[in-house]
Amino acid sequence: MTKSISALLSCTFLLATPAFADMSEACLADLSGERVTFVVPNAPGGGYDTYARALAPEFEAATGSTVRVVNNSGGGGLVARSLVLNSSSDDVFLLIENYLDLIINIDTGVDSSDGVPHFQMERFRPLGLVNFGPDAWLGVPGTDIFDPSITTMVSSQGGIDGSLLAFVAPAIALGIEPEVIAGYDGTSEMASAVLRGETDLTTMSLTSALKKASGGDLQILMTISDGPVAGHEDIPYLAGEGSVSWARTEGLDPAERDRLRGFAVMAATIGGEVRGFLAGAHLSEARLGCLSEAMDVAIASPVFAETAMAQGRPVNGVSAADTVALVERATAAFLTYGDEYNSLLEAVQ
Amino acid sequence: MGYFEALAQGLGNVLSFPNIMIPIAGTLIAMATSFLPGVGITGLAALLMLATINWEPESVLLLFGALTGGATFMGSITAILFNIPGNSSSAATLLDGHPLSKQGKAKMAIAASATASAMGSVVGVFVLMAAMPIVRPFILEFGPLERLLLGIWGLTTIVAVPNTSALKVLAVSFAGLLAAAIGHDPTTAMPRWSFGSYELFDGLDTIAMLLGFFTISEIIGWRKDFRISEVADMSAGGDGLRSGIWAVFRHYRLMIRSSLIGTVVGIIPGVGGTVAGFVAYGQAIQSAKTGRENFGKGDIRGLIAPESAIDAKDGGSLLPALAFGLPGSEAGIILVTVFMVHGLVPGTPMLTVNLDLTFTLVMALLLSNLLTSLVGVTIAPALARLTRLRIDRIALPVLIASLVTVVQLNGLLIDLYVAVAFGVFGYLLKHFEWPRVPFVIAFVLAGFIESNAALATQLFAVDKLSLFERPAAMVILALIAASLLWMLRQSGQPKDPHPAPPYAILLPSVLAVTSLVFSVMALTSSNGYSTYAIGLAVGATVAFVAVVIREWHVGVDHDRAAGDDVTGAGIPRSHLGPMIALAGFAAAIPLFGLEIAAGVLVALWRLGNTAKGGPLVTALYALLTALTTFYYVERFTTALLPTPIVPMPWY
Repeated sequence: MTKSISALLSCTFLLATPAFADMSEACLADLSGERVTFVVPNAPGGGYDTYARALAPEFEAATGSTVRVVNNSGGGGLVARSLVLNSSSDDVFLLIENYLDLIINIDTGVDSSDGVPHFQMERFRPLGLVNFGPDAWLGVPGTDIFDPSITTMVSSQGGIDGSLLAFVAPAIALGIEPEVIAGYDGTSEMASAVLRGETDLTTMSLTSALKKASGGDLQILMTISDGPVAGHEDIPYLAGEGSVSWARTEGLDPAERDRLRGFAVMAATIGGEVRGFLAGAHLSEARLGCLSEAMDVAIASPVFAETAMAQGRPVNGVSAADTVALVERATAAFLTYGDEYNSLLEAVQ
Repeated sequence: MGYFEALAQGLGNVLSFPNIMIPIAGTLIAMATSFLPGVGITGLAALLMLATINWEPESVLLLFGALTGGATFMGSITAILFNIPGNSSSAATLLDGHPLSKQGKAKMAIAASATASAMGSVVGVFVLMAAMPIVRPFILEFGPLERLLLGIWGLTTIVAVPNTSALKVLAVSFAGLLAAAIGHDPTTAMPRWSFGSYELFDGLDTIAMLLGFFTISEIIGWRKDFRISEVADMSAGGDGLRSGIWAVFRHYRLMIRSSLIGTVVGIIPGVGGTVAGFVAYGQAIQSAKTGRENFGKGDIRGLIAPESAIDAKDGGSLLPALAFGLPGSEAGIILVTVFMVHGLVPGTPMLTVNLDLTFTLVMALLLSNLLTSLVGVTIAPALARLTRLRIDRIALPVLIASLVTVVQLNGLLIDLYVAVAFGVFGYLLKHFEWPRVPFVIAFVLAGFIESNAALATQLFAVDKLSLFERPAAMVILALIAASLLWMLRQSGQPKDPHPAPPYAILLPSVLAVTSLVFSVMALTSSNGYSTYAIGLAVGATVAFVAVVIREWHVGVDHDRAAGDDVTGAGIPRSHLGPMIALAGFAAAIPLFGLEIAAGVLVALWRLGNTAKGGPLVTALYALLTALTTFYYVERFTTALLPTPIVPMPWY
């Protein structure tokens, strides 16, 4: 069985820690005095912005470069990606992004049928991760998502296809009839809809869900993972031994059971968020190597971890080399479930 | 801790020394920052969040309460003085604020604005404090249906624009809704009228639109020796601080009513100051017993209403973040993160065990708003003097600065073209005596209305929403009904009695054809345009065709035909110079890049206006502009600028 990204990363992190090291003389000479821009494809104040701003001083200290953080959410984040892919070698732009959004694009490629270009992962060079984690379902305390008499309402930002891995696939695995109410403006509005009773639950990253649930008005119902999440072992999880879907499918016809569990594993494997930095692959190998080195040093800085954590943003860093390997494995995992993913996508569209 | 004990504690936290220095510094920083291009208050707050990570919670809340209050008012100053909305909230402020400046009453306008802001803030904070114990269920009363109805209420203020043809109002309103629909469908995220450009995926930027529509359109109508203030003696005509301050108290009912509107709008997550400003402006017109025709021409009531509402909104907008940890704006996101950093739990604890900290935040907000207004009144005389400058000395720098910095909004060159296009469009509407305010109100409210209509429709379809179970919705519905009744009472008044000049048919004809193209695109696209989008395009086409037919029917006034000083299209020849300069600028960007194009704009502008100093001085100015633009782009912008067709060494 394919291991989930979370599990892979957990192993990777342990192995990767010693890979962080000081920068080489050659790379110090290469980056010292250069101007580097961290491009955040979202508004200030959110998770990506927090990581970028907390990392910037550490990156500066490691390289002697000057780092500025800019927020550019234009074109739904496409402008930020374009800025990075068009940056010159003497004015480096680095993007902080959810890698999985890019990995999913491998199957669609540059698709102009809807007028929006997609950017594939191979156009970027992974430089290291700052955080990864599963998605979670959020509802009011006491929500019974398995009540067969109701259609479960889900508040969502985008259309139903945008909720494919976070909600639709897990819902199928659990035998829940879904009804997505799409078009809410961000995670706060999605959570408000649950509080108002318009919807039964909503989905978002576990990090965001923990923040929303901190006041006690909302509760995390389940993580979309294939095992308990470290530090949150009391929260039910979707796939794997002891999971919600395993319990729900127990006793079914083996073929049907495997089919449903397959959806759970797919959601836990290729869903979630994997936040890290990327450079444009068009930069020279030497420059990319130095940027990877610099990012290794900056991400490993305890000051970065403390600063981000203080703002409710946990850091579980992964070195550049291990991130490259991770991306290859995640890509393979996506291709493993590509057919199911595409059939699901076609079904909901 | 009891309610009053917590209130006293919060007040003590703010007023004790050296604590009081924190909100003062925060206010001044916020005021200064809101003047700097490309540095938003949210960006500043994100930076300060890191810098204050080791501070005590009380000190941090003092700072961030002040930042929330400090930035709002300054956007109104540029709106009043230069017709430039500092933020989208101040869009309603410029409707009457700038005409007051043009009448030589800038000092009075700023004083009235500052006083209304202060009083609005006081009302907002008092309502906030009174509502705190009962606010949680109240917030949950406002869902997509209530927000949709609130948006529609705002839209009904369009019909409150006096002395205009109802048909033209309808047509430009459709145009505003249609222009705002460019981008993507909020529910399906499918591109809509984006012409294959992902730069248009997020739609037309509101600030870029407002900048063009009000500022650039004004500058196109520039004439030599024309000053922003047409009155030479600034002390004449009742332009004084006292008259501005007194005006607010003279219209205290309007101020309180507008403040309450602002507070309620603020409490509803995700609505914002723009809606608050326009709803307050509309009710000011509708509730005016006399002189409604003066609105839009420099009526002090048209300034007091939005200013009170916008600042009152700040208090209300804290409630969703405090009560549920659910931010309704970017500032709210920062605030909730600040809570987390310092171990404060939004929700019930902020309204119970941490109530003293909540009051610290609220009092810092109040102090900041009062301080901002005090500074505003103090510097009003100095700021008002800016309107006495010859406009030919400030128009070009304002134009260049606006056009170059607008690129920084989203890092997109398209925003510059949007500003230029709406500059020309706004000028044409004004010149041909079309109502402009309905277009702006429709544009600003369109996205809000559409997204909430889509949500409400989905919830109705699954029986999760019933109008009769939503008391707040019923109240807003009653307000809409009152607004429409008012409109019906007004409809008997004659409007547009004069036959139009022969060239007046050109503008609606062009807009009818444009709307028709949009309709065809919507009906034939494979992207699946929503019924709402198709309805807008078809509605706009029908409305503009109706205007064309009506203009034909009313007849042509040949006495108003083009003369020697105007072109065949009825545009004064003196206004062609700025338009040619802007056209040259727009054309030069893809050819030579933004830097050289800025120089070209300066050269064309000066040559078209028989500038003093001859070609050499003009070339020097153009070179300086190009160099300054180069430096700004190089150091401060992160825009996606295309490589020019003519190779430039720095690209």
